[in-house]
Amino acid sequence: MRISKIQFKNFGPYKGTFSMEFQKNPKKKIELITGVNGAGKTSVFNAIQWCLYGYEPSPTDPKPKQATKYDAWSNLYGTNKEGKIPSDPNMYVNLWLEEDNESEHYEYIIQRSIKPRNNVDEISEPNHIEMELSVSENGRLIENPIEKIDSLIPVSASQFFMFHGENLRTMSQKHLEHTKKAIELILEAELFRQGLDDLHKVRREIGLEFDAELKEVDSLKGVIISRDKKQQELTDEKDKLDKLKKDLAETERLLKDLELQLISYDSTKGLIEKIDEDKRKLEQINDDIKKLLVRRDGLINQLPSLVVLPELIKIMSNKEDVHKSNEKFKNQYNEIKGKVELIEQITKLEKCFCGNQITSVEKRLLNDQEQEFLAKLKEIEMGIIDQDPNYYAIKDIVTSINSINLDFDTYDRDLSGYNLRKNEVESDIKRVEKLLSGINREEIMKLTIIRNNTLTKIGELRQKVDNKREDVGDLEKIIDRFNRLINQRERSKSFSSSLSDQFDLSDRIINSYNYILDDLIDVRKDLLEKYTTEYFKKLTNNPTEYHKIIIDESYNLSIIDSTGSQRLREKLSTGERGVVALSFILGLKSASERNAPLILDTFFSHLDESHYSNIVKEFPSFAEQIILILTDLEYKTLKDRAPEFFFNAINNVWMVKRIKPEERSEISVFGGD
Amino acid sequence: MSEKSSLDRLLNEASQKFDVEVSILKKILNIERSRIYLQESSRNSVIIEVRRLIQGEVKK
Repeated sequence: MRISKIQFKNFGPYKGTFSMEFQKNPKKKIELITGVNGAGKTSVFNAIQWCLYGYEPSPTDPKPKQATKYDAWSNLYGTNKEGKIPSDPNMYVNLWLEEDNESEHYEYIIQRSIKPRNNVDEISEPNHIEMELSVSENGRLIENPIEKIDSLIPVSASQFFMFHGENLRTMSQKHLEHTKKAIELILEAELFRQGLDDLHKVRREIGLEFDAELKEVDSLKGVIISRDKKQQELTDEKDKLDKLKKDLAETERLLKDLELQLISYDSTKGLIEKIDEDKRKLEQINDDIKKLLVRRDGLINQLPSLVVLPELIKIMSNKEDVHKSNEKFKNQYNEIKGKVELIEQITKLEKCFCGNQITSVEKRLLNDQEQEFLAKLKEIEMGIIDQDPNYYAIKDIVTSINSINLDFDTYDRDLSGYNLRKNEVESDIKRVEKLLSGINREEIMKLTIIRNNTLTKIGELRQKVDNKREDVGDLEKIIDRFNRLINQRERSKSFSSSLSDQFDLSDRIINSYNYILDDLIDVRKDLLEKYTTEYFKKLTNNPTEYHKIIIDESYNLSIIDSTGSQRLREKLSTGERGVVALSFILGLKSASERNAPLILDTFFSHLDESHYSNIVKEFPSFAEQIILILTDLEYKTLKDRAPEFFFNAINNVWMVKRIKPEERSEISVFGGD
Repeated sequence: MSEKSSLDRLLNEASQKFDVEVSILKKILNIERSRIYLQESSRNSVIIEVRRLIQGEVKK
């Protein structure tokens, strides 16, 4: 991967927009940027770092950080030491990267910028700006630009790709600590270790939840037993209900059959009812005729009396005269007798009713009167003819015979009416009986009775079914309540089982991570030893004297010489230690397997003199693209000492100038010489 | 052998040896990688995500 273009605006001391294009030329890998001290060379280096990460990674602390507005703010101020508000608060750095991977060509454009926040009129502090970052891959915007950049040039590995020469010494002096950090960061061993810590925590968490759930699940047993008991009851009740339903259905089916059969008898049913009705009518008519005949017979019996009636009337007429005369005498007799009795009573009295004394004269007169009356009574008695004892009997018979209605016509008319109706009914009965001949009336009656019984049975069964349904419903409600409780617990139970699986899985993952972690560091160390040794042998003045650079378990570097003896780094000369450090950095770069450009700032100033030639000689092979930032003095030295092929590998020479009095920097391409 | 292939090899070996799918190991590794962009105080969110991943795997 190489940088094909850098474009920046208002970054550091650069006011305005600047663009640097690095044409692709496999033979010309080096982009050289030079200028006097303080001209603004390092700002180009910083611009690349800021574009990628939003800050300048520390060579002694390669752990990734978050990009902040404060880093952006300091770059925006640039060399404005007095903290003046920039006239143009818009700043950006755009970086074009290209990579040929097998048959694919990739172009990445990384754009990081700051601009004033909306509604902020006066820019005076970092909070007044906002930062934006975007990454596109072959013209397509990447969703997570930070992750993409990290996959291209991880910030943890950036110290091996872009560093100041002065840091080489620092890095070589802090070799041990850095070796370990670098290996682990590139290797992601740290991530595995943190992952392992997290997994242990997760496993512990799962274990605690599991224990708690097990206790909960224990309390569930009693509830389950009760539920199961009720469930059994429910099953029994449901069986009974099913049986009842079956019986009901069977009985209803039976009723249906019966109804069907009865429907087929429906026409005859009416006839049967009619014949029954006719017979009842016939009975009534016969009864009425019988009564009429009885009455007529009675009339006939009276007929002889009618024959003797005229004679009886005659007799009666005679007897009537005597009777009347006797009655007259009896009335007179009774009147006179009454007077006699009164006289007798008066004569027995001393005083009259009016209170006067009855005198003897008066008594005598009364006696005379009495005698007169008595004589009259005798006379009347002689006039009374002996009483006829049959008088009243004959009179009653005559009266009775006279009252007899001898309307035989009416009787005969009524009787013929009855007989007519009787004939009609009898003829109807005969007609219906003829229609009913061949029909089993008994069967119909039997079916009707069965139907009625069946209806009763259905009613009873329906009642039973309803009752049973209520029982079942009650049981279901109880079981439902149990189930709700159990389900809550069951969920816990399944959660427990899930927890058990989770615990098991986390355990297996922990084992996997341990396995990977142990081996990964060894693999990485082997690779690192291999790459570092390769660089060391190219850069050292005594390649035949040394066999291999090794990294022990404590990440300490040592050298195995050609005799097989181990030489500690501390025992080496200063120059050799520097070469070991550089070899190690280059080895780490190779081991990181990121094909990124090498960006070196004031690199040659800090090289050991004794190895200068070797390093310059090997320099173009350090990376696919090298951006070399040199002071004018370094450049001059290089011109004096570097072989021709070094200069042939230079693609562009960029000159950085400081413009006074504005104190601003400018950069422009100078040439490839 | 390159680092990437050695990591892949180790992931595969661990997967077979401990019966864990490589994808799970990679997912957890990715979750841990996301930590790079988190503050230290957000460490719990990584643990929660790892836990969620394990729960999710078990439910499958």
